[in-house]
Amino acid sequence: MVKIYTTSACHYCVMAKDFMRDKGVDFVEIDVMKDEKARDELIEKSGQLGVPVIDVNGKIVVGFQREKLEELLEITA
Amino acid sequence: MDDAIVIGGSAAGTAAAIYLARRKMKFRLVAMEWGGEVAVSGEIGNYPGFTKIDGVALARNFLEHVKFYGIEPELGVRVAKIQKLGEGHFSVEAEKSGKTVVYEAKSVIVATGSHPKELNVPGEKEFRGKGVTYCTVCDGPLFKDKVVVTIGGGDSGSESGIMMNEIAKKVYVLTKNPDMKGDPSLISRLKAGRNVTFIPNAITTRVIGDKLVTGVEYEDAITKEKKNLSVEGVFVHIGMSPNANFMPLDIEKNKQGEIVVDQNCMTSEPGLFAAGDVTGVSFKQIGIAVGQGIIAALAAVTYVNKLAP
Repeated sequence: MVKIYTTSACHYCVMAKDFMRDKGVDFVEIDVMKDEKARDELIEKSGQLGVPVIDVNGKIVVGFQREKLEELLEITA
Repeated sequence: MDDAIVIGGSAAGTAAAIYLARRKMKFRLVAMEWGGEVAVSGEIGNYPGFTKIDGVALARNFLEHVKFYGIEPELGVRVAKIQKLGEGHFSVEAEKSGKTVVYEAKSVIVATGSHPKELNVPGEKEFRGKGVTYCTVCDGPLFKDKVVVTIGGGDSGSESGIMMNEIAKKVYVLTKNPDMKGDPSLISRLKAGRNVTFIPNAITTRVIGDKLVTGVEYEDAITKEKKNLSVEGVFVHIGMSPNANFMPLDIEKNKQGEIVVDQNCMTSEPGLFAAGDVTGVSFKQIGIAVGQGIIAALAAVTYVNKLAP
């Protein structure tokens, strides 16, 4: 299960979502501006305050890191 | 060998690529990621043809336009070194997916833009991503109803303050100068913000926090008094530095490290061109970057066509 913590105008969030769609990976988007609890969850999971944060089955990736995501999702480039 | 390689995936790179494609040049377009500073600009109101457009949308339009000409940008490419091996022969060494790759081309167009400058104060690196950010558009919404500070006295600082006025409980806007500089309409909008407190003559000295940012310390430039602000977010907008450290060492750069180019966007090395915010052009604007990308492309075409067969 992939969760992406985002904010509305965040370009790297858009890139992360486009990446997932391109690779055919289903994901759940969590807008941390709309949800205070989600913001707290973001801080707890990633130890920082920035988006996107991508939770790939419990493994946390901070920022849009293409190579790391390919590795975690076992996608060959 | 390719006629050209374009390095950079935003305004200047897009413009160069479109013109090279229309001139039927054989080339590739490489970049770390797509969109650059355009994509994180938020609302853009001064790009001709668009009364108002979001930066993400404009970056998307750029990508669609290059793809329309059958160009597929190679992303995840970090250029490390450019070398001239002979007239009309350049090698570009880069890292891609953890491996070193070398591209060769008759000409090179560098359109790599710039990155935000750091304050270079204690606590800044430690709290980067933990309350310190260089992109209000990206991270501003995370600070809804919090107290924040924007540091920076130019248009980016004004834009940051204007945006956070709508989102934050309170936004301090600090500048080391006696007043904000830049676009008067932005400055008026900023100062009219009901949640904005403007603090001039303020030199940031420290970022303070525990697990996350809790405040900043600054020095009053006139009284030399040190003061503290309790904030959870620090938005740094103090200018940009060019992404040009991979250029040949003897290439001419100005004091800011920006690449010096002539009116044909050629650097001090024939066949090596640069366009957009990475150059020493006086004003860093999307429209200007696009114009320079076009000049660089057409000049590269002329250069390549003049090479000995």
